[in-house]
Amino acid sequence: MNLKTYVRARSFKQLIESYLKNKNIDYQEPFEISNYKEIKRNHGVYLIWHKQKSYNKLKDLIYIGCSGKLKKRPDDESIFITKQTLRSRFSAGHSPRRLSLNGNFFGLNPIFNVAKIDKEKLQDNIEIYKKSFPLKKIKIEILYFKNIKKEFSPSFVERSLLDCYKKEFGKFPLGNSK
Amino acid sequence: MIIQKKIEKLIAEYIDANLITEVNKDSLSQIPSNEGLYLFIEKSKENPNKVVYVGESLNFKKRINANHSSFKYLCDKRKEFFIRTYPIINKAISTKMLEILVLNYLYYELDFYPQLNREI
Repeated sequence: MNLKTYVRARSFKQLIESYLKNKNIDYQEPFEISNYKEIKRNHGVYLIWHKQKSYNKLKDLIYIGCSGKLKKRPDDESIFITKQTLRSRFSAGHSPRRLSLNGNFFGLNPIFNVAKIDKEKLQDNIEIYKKSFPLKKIKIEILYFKNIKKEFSPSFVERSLLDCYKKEFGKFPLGNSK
Repeated sequence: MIIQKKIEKLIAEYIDANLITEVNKDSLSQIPSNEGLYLFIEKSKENPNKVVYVGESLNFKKRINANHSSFKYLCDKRKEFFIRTYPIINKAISTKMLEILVLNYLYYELDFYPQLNREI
């Protein structure tokens, strides 16, 4: 399959299932986010579900994120992969924290350090931050990349899923503000 | 075939060829206000059409200015370059998706990484 095949997918379900068939992707079924130590120290794309995963019920999909970007400095020809793995994303207080302002909810203790939250960013997304979900109802589904330098990047998968979600549901997942 | 033509072939179904503009770096006021993809293309003796940056914007005019970091970099290095803009028709694809599609195509299929793009 070429890149355009993914861009042309007719539904979110069709798109994600085509990624799951890709030999460069290893799949991990959704599991409770509180068991975040089950996340491997690899790169890939993750989907955060509230309650149950259902590709036909997208309102329960509240965040799509990725790790493993290919970067290059302007005066340097070498290309490198960013170090942060999926596992380290969940110990460094990254994007999903926006779903987690109230204590005992997704993103707060024991996973994140509240003191590190960017106060200005909080103000920008205050409506989103008002939402919170009980930790035990949050599940994470992961698509690990075996080789990032093959076929397409995690950012491509993330963006195509986000675009397809928006086409089907009319807006982005709650935790993805842009 | 030069890289720029390959990009145009890839994105042909999403853009209106009649609206493609080409603007010299010194004529920024002529840049349209559409949304879409844009390329910075360097002119050098060795390669007269070297794509050095692929970007996207909801408004070319607002995005491409003297404070654009890659624009500034090229000016600081005294490079000769021009800007080609590709407005998206009927919102067939989002600007970000088009950008990442092109960058993935360049890197994974043509083994080419534009000099000034920071990440894919």
